[in-house]
Amino acid sequence: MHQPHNPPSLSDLQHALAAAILRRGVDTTRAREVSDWMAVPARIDPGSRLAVYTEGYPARLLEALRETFPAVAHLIGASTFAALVARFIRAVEIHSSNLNRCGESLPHFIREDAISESLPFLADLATLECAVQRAFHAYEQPALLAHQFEVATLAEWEATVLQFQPSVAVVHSPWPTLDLWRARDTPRDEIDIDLNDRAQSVVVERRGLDVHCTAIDHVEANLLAKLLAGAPLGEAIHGIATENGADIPVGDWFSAWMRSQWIVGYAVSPLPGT
Amino acid sequence: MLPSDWPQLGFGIGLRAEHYEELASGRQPPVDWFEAITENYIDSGGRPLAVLERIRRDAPVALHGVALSIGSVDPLDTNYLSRLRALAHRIEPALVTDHLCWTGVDGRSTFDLLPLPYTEESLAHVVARVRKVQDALGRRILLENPSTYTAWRHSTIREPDFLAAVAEQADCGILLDVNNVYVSARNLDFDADAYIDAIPAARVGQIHLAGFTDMGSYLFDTHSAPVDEHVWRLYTRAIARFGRVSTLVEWDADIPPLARVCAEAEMARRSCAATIATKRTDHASATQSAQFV
Repeated sequence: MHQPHNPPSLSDLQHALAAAILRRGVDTTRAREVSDWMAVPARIDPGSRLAVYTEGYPARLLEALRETFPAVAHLIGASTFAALVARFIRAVEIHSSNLNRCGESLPHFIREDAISESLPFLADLATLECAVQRAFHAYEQPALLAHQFEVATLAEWEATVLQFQPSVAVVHSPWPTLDLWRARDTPRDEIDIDLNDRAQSVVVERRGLDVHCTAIDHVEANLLAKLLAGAPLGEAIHGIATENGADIPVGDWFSAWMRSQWIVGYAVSPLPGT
Repeated sequence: MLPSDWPQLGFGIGLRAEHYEELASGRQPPVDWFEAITENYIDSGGRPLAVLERIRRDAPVALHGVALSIGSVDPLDTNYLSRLRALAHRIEPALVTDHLCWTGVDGRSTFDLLPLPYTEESLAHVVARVRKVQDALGRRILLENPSTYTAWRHSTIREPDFLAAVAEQADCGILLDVNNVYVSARNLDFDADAYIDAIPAARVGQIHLAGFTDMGSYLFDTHSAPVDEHVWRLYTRAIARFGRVSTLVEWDADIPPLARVCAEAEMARRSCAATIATKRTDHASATQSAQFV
């Protein structure tokens, strides 16, 4: 084979080709450098073969993100979704080596992207689809049984931090996110969802191997969100009571969560003075 | 090492989500084994893992990775290796395989199987890393020849010789993808037969078959079509040289019903049997002729 005057080291070659792929259209210098190092049949333009790799990257991400965000992709249409993904890839460095997880920062990106000006519900819908994806792959744990929950005093109960199944998530939105998610299999021209004044709180959970999304009461969702974030029971409930009045059915909700096998454990955070 | 050191799994197909429902119906498809893409199960405790465990109860499984990045100049991803080891412990696969390639640098993946320059520098690098991976996993792995669309001008070693050298020096196996040999040979103008002939038989523990897409100026390894007739011919040559090797049909895009993919594996079974029968007849004839000399 014809040798270039200054053959690149393995590291130089990998950094140049990776830059040509990951910064396609931005870092054209590296693409020219790589083309000079390529050995292809004489009749072939090296640039066309380099394009097999540089064009493969956005194509793979588009396919993976379409699988993770079927409702977002369906509602905005194929070409708008492709353009959104193209902007996402240019703007965000993806560090996951697993295509199933490459879209974890897409909801945040959508929230900041211009598309949210015309479609303000889209970021919440993407957040819900991320939660569905996480629930689908979650390693579920044995549920806590009622007799295993042993908290002796009110002070301990208030300091208790609940541990939930990794699949359980809450998505609260001022938009009818659950209705929008359910429309992912409805032909686009048949979708007719009233967006006005239709806030929905959605809980995501796994039942066996199936992922379920259900609308729940906004106050329950708020409490659940605080607890999922690691707040002790006392702090979370006092916060909710302050915002919504004291008459909230925490006991009923807690029983329902236990029956649904969402709670897998608990820890009592250190009490003051102990 | 003898070829018999590698498990003889027979003829299998890739485990794909599109077939989960059919596989869950309980009817055992007419194949001997399955290959699971490691990354689809390594981070999943849901349906994919449940299906894989169910399949594993009835049939051997190989774990086939796409993210080991054995040729990358990045440090080996010890977290990935720990998770792979845990998955292997759980599934007890017959084979653990990945690709002779690199997938990214500086902690970022291109989600592609990128070609290495075949130089002494690359050889030393890959051999050292394969040894470390095998130590971490407590087992030998097999490396697959990738499909390629370019080579590198400063390569000094032919790909089959490089693959053979890695296998010998690191004491690992070779997963020979016959479709990739054909695709790369057409894309880079080299002799596919000579490639097969340069692979050390005793190192080949598995063969892949798949379909490609003709893009006009190159062949694209899409795994979206039946095995091409040229690849079947090359497979015959490989079986004649390596003997009966565990063979797997990959179909990853435009995936047809399970029965169609199984039919392709059945074609491989017949092709392999016919090749070995022909070889035995030729050998018997040659022995008989020799006795009359």
